[in-house]
Amino acid sequence: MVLELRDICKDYARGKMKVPVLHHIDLSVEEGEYVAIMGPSGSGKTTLMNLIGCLDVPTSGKRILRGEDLDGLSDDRLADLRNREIGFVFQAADLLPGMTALENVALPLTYRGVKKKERLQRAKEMLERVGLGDRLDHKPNQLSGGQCQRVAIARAMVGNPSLLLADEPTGALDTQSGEQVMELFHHLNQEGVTIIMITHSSEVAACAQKTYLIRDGRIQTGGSR
Amino acid sequence: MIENIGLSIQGIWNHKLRSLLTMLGIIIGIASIIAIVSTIKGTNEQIKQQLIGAGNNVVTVQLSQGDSPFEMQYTAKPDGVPVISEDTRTRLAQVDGAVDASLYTQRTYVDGLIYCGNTGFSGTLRGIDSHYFGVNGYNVYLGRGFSQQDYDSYKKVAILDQSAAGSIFPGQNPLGKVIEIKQEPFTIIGVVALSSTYEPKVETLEDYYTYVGNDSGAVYIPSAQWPLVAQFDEPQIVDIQAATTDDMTVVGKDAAEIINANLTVKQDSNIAYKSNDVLERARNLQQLANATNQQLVWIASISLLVGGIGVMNIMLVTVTERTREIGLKKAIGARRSRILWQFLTEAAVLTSLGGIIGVLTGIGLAQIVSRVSGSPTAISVPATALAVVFSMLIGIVFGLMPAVKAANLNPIEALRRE
Repeated sequence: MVLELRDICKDYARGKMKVPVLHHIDLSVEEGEYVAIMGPSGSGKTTLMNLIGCLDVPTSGKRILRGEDLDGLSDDRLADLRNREIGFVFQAADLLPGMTALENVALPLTYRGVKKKERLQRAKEMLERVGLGDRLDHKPNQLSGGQCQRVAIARAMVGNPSLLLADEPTGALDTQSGEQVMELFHHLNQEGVTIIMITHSSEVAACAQKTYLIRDGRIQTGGSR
Repeated sequence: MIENIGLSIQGIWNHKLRSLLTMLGIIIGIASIIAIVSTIKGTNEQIKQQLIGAGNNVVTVQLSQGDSPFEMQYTAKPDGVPVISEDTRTRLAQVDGAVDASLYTQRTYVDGLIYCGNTGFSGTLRGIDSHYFGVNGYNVYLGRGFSQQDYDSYKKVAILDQSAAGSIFPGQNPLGKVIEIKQEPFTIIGVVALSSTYEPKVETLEDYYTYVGNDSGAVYIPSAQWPLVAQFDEPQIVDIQAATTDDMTVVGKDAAEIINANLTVKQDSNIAYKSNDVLERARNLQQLANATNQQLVWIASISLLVGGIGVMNIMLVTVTERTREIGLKKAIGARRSRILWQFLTEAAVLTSLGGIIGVLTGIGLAQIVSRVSGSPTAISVPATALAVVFSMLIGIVFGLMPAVKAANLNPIEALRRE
C-alpha cells in the first residue's frame, strides 16, 4: 500500500462559518497503480490533492503514506516527505526561469543534500528518460509547453518518489503535446511508477486503471476498468 | 551556500536596473563614509607628517623653564645645568627606540650676529657636533662636512643649509666665501640639504606658523667654536632620532629623564629638560579634525539606514513576485530554513555588492576631493573591510523580515497564485 486515506474530512473556515469541502473520504492506492481522480471544478479535488501531497492537513481522518502516519508531523518532516515520497506535476510546468532544464530537474535532489555531480548525473538520466536528452542546457523559455511539462515530470521523478501526483498536467497544453505527456505517464506507469492524476477531463481519466469521481466533496464512484 | 550566492548574483544580474537602484542607498552611504574616513585619515597623516617632518623621527629635548624653552640669548646660563657630556650623549643614543643622538647649541633670529659684507642674515646659527647632520637627515650637497680636524684644531669653518645659501649667496657658489659671525670670519666649506626633501603644504597663515615656523635657513659651525660666538659651557639641546614615529614620545621622555638626573637646579626653579613632543601636538590637531568629521560619518550613516529600508522594500516586492516559485520549491521539498536562507543570502549579496561598489566609489570620491581641495587622502584598509561587512549586515538585518515572510508562505496559497 502506497497511500491510504481513512475517513478524511476537511473544512475551511470562512469568517465564522465552517465550509466543509471534503466529506469522509476513503481512498487507498496500491503500488504501481494508475489512479485518476475526476471531478468538476469546486468539487474538492484540489483540496484532496493537497492533502495527499502533504501540503495541507485534514480537519479529521487519517492519512498513511508508505506506512507512515502523517498526523502531527512537523513542517520540516513534511517537507522531507514531499521531497522523497511525492513527485508533483502541476498544470503549469512551474520551472524556474533562470535555470536550465538540467538544473530544474536536479533541484529536488539539492534539498536532499545530494552532491552536485551526482545530482546533475541523475537529472541528466531522468531527462533522457523523458526524451529530452538533447535539451539539457535549454532554459524554460527555449522549450515548448509540452517539453516544459516533460521537464517538470522529470523533476518530479528524479528522486524516485513513491507517488507521482499530477494536477491537470495537460490542462495548459495543445492536444498533441497533451497526448505525448499522457503517453509518458502511461509509459512511466508501465515501468512501475504509482500515479495519481487529478483532472476534470474524462478523456485524461480514461488513461488510468482506476477512476474515482468526486463531487461535492464525496467520492461517488470508484472502480477499475 | 556558495550555490545560493551564485544564484543570487545571477538574480541581481537579471534585474540590473532594479538591483542598482536598490543598492544606490547603500552605495551612497558607504561611498560617503569611505570618502570622509579617507579624508580624515589623509588629513591626520598630513598633520603628523608636517609636524614631524620628512619622517626622520627626530625628537628634540631642550632645556625649558616651565612650558617654554629656555632662551640662552636673553638670559644668563642657569645655575646647576651642566654641559651634556659625550658619555651622556652615548647613553641617550642607546635609549630604547633611539637610533642616534646629537648635541648642539643654537641662536635664532639674532640680528647683527651674522654678516656677509654689509648684509645681515637673521636665520638660525647652530654649533653642532658630528652627529647632527646624520640625526636630522642632512646630506652634504656641495663641498664637504666638518672633519674631526675642524673640531680638534678649532677651524673657523661654516656650513650652510640650502635656504641660507640661497638667501646669503643668491645665484653664487658659496664655497670658499667668508661670512662674519660675531665679527669672526668663517669660511664656507659646504652646503647641506635634507636627504628626503619635504615641503610642508602651506595654504594659510596658520599652516605657516604650525608647520614652517623658522625656515629662513641655518648656518652651522663646529660646536668647538661656540664659545667664540656665544658663551662657554652652554648647556646643549639634544636631537634624538627614534627608530619609528611612534617611538618618539617615549624616547623623548626617557632622554629627558637621563639628562635631568645630572641637573642640580634648585627645587623650585622649574628648570628642566623637556622633550618637544610633536606627536602630541599632532594628536591634538588630529582630534580637532576628527571631531568635525565624526559628525559627517553619522550623517552618512543615515543614508545607509535609508538604503537598508530600500532593500527591505524591494525584497518584499521580490517575495511577492516570486510567491509561486516559493510555493513550488516548498512543494518539491524545500524546508522553511532553506527558503529563509535563500532570501537572506540574496539580500546580503545585494547589499555586499552595494558595499563593494560604494567602497570603490568612495575611494574615487576621495581622490577627487583630494584633487580639488588639495588635501591628501589615505585609504584605510580596516575601514573598507568594515564597510563591506557592515553593508552585508544591513542586508541580513533588513532582509530578515522579507525572508521570514517568504519562509512562512503557505505553499497552497502560494501555488494558487498565478
